[in-house]
Amino acid sequence: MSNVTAIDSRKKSIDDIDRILRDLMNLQGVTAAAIVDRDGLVTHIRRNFDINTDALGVSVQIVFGAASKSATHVNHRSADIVICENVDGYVLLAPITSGVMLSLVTDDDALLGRVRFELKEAIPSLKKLFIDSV
Amino acid sequence: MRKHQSDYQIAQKRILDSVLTGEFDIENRQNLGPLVPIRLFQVLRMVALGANVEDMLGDGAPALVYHSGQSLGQILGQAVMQQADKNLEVYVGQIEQLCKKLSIGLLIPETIDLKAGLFELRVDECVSCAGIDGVSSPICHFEAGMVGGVIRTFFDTNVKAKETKCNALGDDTCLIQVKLT
Repeated sequence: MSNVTAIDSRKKSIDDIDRILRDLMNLQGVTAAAIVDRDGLVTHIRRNFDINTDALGVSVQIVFGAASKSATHVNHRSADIVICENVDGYVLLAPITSGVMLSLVTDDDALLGRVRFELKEAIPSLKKLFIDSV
Repeated sequence: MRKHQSDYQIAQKRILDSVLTGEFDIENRQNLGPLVPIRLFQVLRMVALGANVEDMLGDGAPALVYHSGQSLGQILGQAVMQQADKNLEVYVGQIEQLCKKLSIGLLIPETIDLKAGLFELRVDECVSCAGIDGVSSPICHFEAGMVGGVIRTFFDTNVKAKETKCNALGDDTCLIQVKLT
């Protein structure tokens, strides 16, 4: 009986995570929303274009890791959100818990402030889901 | 138009061609020969691609090392795939031979559960962590990525590979668990 409960609750977590990613995808200009584990593997993703998930996952960890290190070098403790402003859009990275990261990809008509706000809003809910699922 | 290759990519091709053909004789090493001590390999693996990368990337370092191992695993897997003719037993056997020949370690399958999509492979005498102890968590992210890349190539699907036992932790082997995702 307990096994059945565990599977059900895990499925619910996956559904909840998927719902959060779907909501983020509904923001103007957001083209991909992904969750990346500490090993750089994409565990959940919603996107509306072809994307190399391997390359995305490892770059998320490398870029955020480098940004966090540079934050410590200038006495900023650690990185909170990393925003890459690219020629054709933005990539935003934020830690959820224990090395797990949320990454959003946008095109250039995204409203950066709105995306950043919603990203910050999503983190506590995702954090709870990941902590509960461990 | 020919695609531009970086110098690292040119060197990579030369090295991997030698590795895959088994030609270990090497030019310009008439006196010192083709072999180096394992400790030198470990300097490259645990210092250059370990502590130094960690200095720059912090928690991002294991992901980079894992990804490097996965790339090598995929190259080895693709090289062996043609001879294996989609036979998993033959494929794993060829990879075992290659790992032994390259002294990466003695690769031994422990669990192959196709139904659950779960594999466990031991790497005895692992080249990365042999003679290292006192660590607090598994350190062979490169080997985990490599084994993951090998399995991923055969099944042509994403995998998650994790080292669950490590020589450097005091275990008697390095055990890599791979799940098809």
